[in-house]
Amino acid sequence: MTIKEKLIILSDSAKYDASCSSSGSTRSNTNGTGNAAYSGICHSFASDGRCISLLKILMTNSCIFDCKYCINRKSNDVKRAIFTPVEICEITMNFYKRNYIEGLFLSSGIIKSPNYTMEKLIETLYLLRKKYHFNGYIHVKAIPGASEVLLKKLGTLADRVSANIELPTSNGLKLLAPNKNEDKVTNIMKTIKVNRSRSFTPAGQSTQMIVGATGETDLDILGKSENLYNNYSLKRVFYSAYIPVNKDKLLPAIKNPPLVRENRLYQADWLLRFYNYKVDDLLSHDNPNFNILIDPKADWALRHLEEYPKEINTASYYDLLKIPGIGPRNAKKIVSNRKYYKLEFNDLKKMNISLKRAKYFITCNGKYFTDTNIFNKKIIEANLVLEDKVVSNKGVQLSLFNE
Amino acid sequence: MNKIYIYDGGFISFIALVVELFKNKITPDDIKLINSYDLGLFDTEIYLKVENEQENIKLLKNKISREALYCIYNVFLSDNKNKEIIIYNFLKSYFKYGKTVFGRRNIDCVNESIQISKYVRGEAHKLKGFLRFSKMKNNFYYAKFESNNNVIGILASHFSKRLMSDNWIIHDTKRGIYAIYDKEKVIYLTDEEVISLNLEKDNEDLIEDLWKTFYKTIGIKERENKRCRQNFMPKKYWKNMLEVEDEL
Repeated sequence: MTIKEKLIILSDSAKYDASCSSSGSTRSNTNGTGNAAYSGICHSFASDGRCISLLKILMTNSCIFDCKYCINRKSNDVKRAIFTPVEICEITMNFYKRNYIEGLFLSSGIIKSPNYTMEKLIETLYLLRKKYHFNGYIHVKAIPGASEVLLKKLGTLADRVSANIELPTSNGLKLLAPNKNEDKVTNIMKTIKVNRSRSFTPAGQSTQMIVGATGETDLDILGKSENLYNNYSLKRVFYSAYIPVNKDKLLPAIKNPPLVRENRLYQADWLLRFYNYKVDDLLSHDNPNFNILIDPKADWALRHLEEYPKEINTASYYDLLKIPGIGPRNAKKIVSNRKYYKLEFNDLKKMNISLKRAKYFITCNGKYFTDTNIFNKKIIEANLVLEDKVVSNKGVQLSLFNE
Repeated sequence: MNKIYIYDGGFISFIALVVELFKNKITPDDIKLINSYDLGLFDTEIYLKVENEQENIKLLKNKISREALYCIYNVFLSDNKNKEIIIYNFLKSYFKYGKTVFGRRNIDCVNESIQISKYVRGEAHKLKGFLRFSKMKNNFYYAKFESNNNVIGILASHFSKRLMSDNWIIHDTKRGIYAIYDKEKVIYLTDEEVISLNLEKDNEDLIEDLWKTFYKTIGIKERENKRCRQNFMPKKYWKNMLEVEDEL
């Protein structure tokens, strides 16, 4: 098999992993090739609009497991390939020196045993770091069930190590991934959390959940995320709209991946990490799924309209964050400017703060942007939905992958 | 008459002139690079002599914060036609308000400076990712690019850390500037100064083909969203990116 044929097979089967971020590490170059950029760098964008920053491949797509949703499951009749460690190093170095990539994302099917697979991954990373003197970004997938000693070794070679939790409930996992179990994944997370330092997975860990393959609600999924953020200090949880690659009676028969739902989960995930919201603020047992028509923050605002409109010149930083359309960056701009002068709508526009959504929820110097009769749940909701539709028709909304 | 003060080189000579203007309490109507603009009917050019450029630079460095210096440097790299007078006015505000100017965006020159600086850094950041090197027969890696702002210095400093063990050349085709790195230092040459670089491509087909193959494979068909792609990766950069140049 040629290198090209291998690359096709092993990148095709790696593409469903959402993570491609390269941020959070400050690894510097010491007489070799490469360094990490703390902000991360996108090198290209694929036809699906997702950022390409890492050479995302599997070491092999052979696997002894038979997870229902996975294209590489044992029972599938697909072409199998395996890269040798040297082949992976050569492609990585050659791509890196031409500035195609920011580094390597290496995952793998499980061959022989979890420990054996992990040893192969370590061998590859060791070669890349020590023989090729590569100091660029490496994100590697830990193999559930491999020994802790191996995991600790892996962590010293990579910028980020992650393990995918795949499904938010252990029942879902039992049903679709009978060879995996949650404890094996959370054990990995625990080890990484405890050992993390400048020389051990400096960019932290992430994980991924599949959305829409089982019956879980958004509350189940986001609750799981909140739990993971709190207990294992995860940097990111990625959500991956289920795409039917296999036919199985246990899997839902859907035509299109639930992209809007995935987008809502990402929006809510941002609210957890940067906006001080809790899952309980956003969802409840009576209302366990997000409104598909409206983003979670605006939805929350409309349900708590008595807290609005907020006065731009006096609202606290955290109150500013509750204004739809205002994020941490804009809130900081507002706070650092209003010390020196009173802000009007025009001043906000001048600072490039978009008022498209925010205008319904704020006053500037006591003034509302138009007749206050507009300040009414139904009217605002209708306007926001309309604007969202315009945006999603342009197709720019579903794109939260670059960090 | 409009008094236009003329500088004749890069950032250093511009800043030295600006400091000289402040020292002598001169308010210019404009500041321009020599031979870079058309003289208007009511314009008069003034060449102010700067005795010691380095001393003026030192003076300014001691007076303003790193953040402010970073900001005006970025504005200077921009393609904005009024950048010189914007920087002059920014500094005037800075001398009045100190570090707090960054919170006074109701002052036009401050707001503009912050926005232009962000725009320059944004373009430089994009190009740090979008630049594509090819391997040449003489073992140099060569990349050409076209940008709105003059970001070759930012790029060269980025790659001199990242690719410190290789020889490379970055070529700004619009401005005719080369940054050449020989594993030790970067030198800058213009089109006229470059005599022969012998830029003949190595036989790259295999690696370039692998990259194009990877690019095609990694996109998920069911999620195709070309509009979104174009928002993040504007078409103006495509002609120097091998994985998408065929789609132009």
